Amino acid sequence: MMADLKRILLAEDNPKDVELTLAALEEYNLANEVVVANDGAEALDYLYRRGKFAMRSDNNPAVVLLDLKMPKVDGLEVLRTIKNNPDLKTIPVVMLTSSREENDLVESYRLGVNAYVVKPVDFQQFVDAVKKLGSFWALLNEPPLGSVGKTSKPRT
Amino acid sequence: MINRVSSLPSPDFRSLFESAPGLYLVLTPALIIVAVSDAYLQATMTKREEILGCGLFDVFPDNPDDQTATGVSNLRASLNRVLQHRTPDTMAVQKYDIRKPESEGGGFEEHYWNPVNSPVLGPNGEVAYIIHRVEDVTEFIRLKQAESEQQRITEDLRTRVARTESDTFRRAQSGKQDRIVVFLMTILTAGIFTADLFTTLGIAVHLLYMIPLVMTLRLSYRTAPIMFAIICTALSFLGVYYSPLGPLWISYSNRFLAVSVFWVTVLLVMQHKRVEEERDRFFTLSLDLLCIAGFDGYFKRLNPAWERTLGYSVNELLAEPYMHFLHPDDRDATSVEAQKNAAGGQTFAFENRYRCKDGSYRWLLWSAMPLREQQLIYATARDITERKRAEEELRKRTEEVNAANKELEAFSYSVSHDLRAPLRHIDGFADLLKKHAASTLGDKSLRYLSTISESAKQMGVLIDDLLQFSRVGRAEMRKTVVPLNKLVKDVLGEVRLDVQDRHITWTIRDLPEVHGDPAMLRQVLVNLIANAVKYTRPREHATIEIGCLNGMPNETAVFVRDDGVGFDMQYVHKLFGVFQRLHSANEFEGAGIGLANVQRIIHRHGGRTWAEGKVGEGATFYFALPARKEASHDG
Repeated sequence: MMADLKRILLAEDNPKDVELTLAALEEYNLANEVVVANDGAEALDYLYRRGKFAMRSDNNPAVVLLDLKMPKVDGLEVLRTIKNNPDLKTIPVVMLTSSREENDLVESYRLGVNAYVVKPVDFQQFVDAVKKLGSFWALLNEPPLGSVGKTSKPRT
Repeated sequence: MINRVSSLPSPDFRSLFESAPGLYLVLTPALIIVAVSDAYLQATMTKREEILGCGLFDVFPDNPDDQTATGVSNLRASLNRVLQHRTPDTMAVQKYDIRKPESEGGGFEEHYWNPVNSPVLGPNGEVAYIIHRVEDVTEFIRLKQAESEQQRITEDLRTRVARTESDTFRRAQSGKQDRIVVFLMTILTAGIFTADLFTTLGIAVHLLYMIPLVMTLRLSYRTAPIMFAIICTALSFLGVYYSPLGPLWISYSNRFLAVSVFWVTVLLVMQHKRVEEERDRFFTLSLDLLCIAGFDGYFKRLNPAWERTLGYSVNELLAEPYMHFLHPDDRDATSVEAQKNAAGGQTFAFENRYRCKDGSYRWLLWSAMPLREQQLIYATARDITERKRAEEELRKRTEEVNAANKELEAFSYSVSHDLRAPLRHIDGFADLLKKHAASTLGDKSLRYLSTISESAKQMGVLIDDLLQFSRVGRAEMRKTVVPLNKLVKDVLGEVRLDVQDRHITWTIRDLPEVHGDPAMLRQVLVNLIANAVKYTRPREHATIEIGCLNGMPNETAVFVRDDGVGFDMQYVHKLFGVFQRLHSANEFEGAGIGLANVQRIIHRHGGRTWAEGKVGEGATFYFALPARKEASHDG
C-alpha cells in the first residue's frame, strides 16, 4: 500500500493549515510522500527545480494541492504558470482553499484547474475532504505517462 | 230663487273660507291674523291654533340666515299701502323662506311668493280687514332660474364666440397694411383703365377686374392672390384669343398681362415678406441659439438667445471671430468641424464650450448645415450645460458606488478567506487534542472541547450565511422562464430525503411559469419549504401546502403554508430581517438569514414578500413576482 503512494505537493503558507492537512492525511496513512511549499514561489521552485529544490532528482508530484491566497506568488499565479508550461501542464492541480468566491472559482477553472475544493470549517468534514483528495489523486488516479516518472528539468 | 236660497241652511262661511283652495290670511288693520285657509297652513307648515291671534311678522319672520331677505319690509310696505289707499296692492314676487317645524328638522326652506293684499272695507269705508292672498310660485321661479341659468350660459358662449371672433380679427389685422397696399394698387390699376371706362368693354372688364379686389379684401391672403392670378391670366388669354376681333382687345389683353404680372409680383413679394416676418419672429423667440456664420470665421447673424445665454451683446459677438469665444480645448475640434462644413458636410450633435461674459463656460450642442454658394453655415446650438453637469454628477456617483461595491467585495472576500481559516484551526486542533488526549481528559474537559468545536462550526455557518446573503445582493441575475412546478418538484425531492422519518402531507397545487433567475428562485423555495418543514417538527402529522393565489392580475403570488408552530403577527415585521429570529436556537436551529435571503431575492426581482401566521396554528409565507410583460424576452 505504502509503496503505491505517489508524491503530493502541498502549497500552503499557513503552518496551522499545513499541520491540519498533514494530520488529516496521516489519519488515512496518506502522508508519507508530501512535500510542503510555504508559498507560491517555493512551489514553483520545486516544480522548476530551482533554489533549495535545485538538486532534487525525483520526478513530478502526482498532484499539487494549492492554496489560493499565499504571499509572493498566489495560487492563481502558480496555477497559470503550471498550465502554461508544456512540461508541467499535465500535473493535476487541486485548489484547496478557504475562498468560496465565485470569481476565484471561475478564474481557476478558466486557467485549467483539475478540481476546486473549499476547506470546510468542520474538521471532520475537512479530514473527509482531504482523505478523498489524497486517496483519489495519490492512489486511484493514474497520472499522465511521463509526468510522474520524468526526471528532466522542465523548461523555464 | 230667493225662496230657494232662504230655504237652504245658512252656510258656515268660516269653514268654507278655511277649506278654500287658495292661500289666504285675514288680517286686522293691526296685522293680527284672524283667519287662515287650510292651504295656507299647509304651504307654510304651520298650525292654525299656533298662528291665530298672533302678529303676522311674529309668525312669519325673515330667514335670519338670508342677509338679503326683504320679505318682511316689502310686505309691511304693501300692507301700509292697502291701509292708506284702501285699494288692493299686488306685490312683486317675494322670496320668503318658510320656517320648518322642529319635527322636520327646523331651519328654513326656500320659497317664492306672489302676494296680493286686498282691503275689506267696513260700513264707514274704513279698512276692516285685509285679505292677504298668496300664490306659491317657488316652482315657477325655479323654472325661471333654470331658464336664466341657461340664458347666462348661452350669453357666455356668445361672448366667448365674439371674443374669439375679435381675436381672429385682431390677428387678421396684422395683414392690414398689406390690404391697404392692395387697395391702393387697385385704385392705381383702375386708373389705367379710366380712359376706357366709358366704353362698354371697359366697364365689363372693370367689373371683372373688381372681382379679385373684392376677393382680396374678403378672402384670406393665401387664396386671394391665387384667385387674382387665375382671373387675370384667364382674361389675358381670352384677350389673345379674341385679338383678331379688333385692336382694342389686343390692347386690353396686353394691359391685362402687364397688370397681372405686376400684381402677382407684388403679392409674391408680400407673401415673401410675411414668411420672412414669421421666420424672424421665431428667430427672436427661439430659446436655442441660432446663427449664420461665414466661412471666414465670423458670425453673420445671431438671435437674441445668444445674448441671453452668453451675456455678450450680439454686436460684441459679431465683432470677433467666433473661435475667440471658444474654450481653448475645444478650438481644434471646432475648426475641424467648421472645415467639414466648408467642404459641404453637415454637423450633428457636436459639442463645444463657449465663454460667457462672466468668464464661465456654457456647453453647446450643435447642429449645422453649410450653404456653400453663399459661403455660410446655418447652425443651431442648444445650451446643454445643465445636462452636462447632471451627467457629470451621475458619472461621479456611479464611480463612487462602483468603488464602494469594490470595497465591499474586497471585504467579503477577506471575510470569506481570512475569517474562516482561524475557525477551521480552532475546530481542527480541538479535534486533534481530543484524539491525542482522550484517555487522559475527564468528561468535563471533553465537553469543553466539544463546546469549542461547536462554537467554531456555528460561527463558520454564520459567516457562510452572511457571505451568501451578500452574494445574493451582488450576484448578476440571469433571468429566464422558470417553471415553478418543476422547481418545486426538484426542491421537494431534496427536502423529502431529509424528512423521511416525519409524517408530512404535501399538497402541491398547480404553479405558473415565472420570469426570473432559476438559481435564486430555487433558493427562495428551498428556504421557504425548509422553514415549513422545520417549524412543523413538533406536529406528529404536519400539512404543508404550496400554491398560487388567484385573481392577481399584475403579479404571480406563490405561498407556502404550514400548520406548524406559527408566529405572533405583532413580530411579522421582524421575520424578513437579517439575523432576526422569533425562536431560540434551542427550539429551532438557524441563523435567521433564510427569510432575509428570500426577501432580498424577491426584491431584486421587483417583487414583494409577506407572511401571515398565528401562534400554534401555522404560518403562510408569500412571495409575489411582477407579471411578465409579453414584450420582454430578455431571458
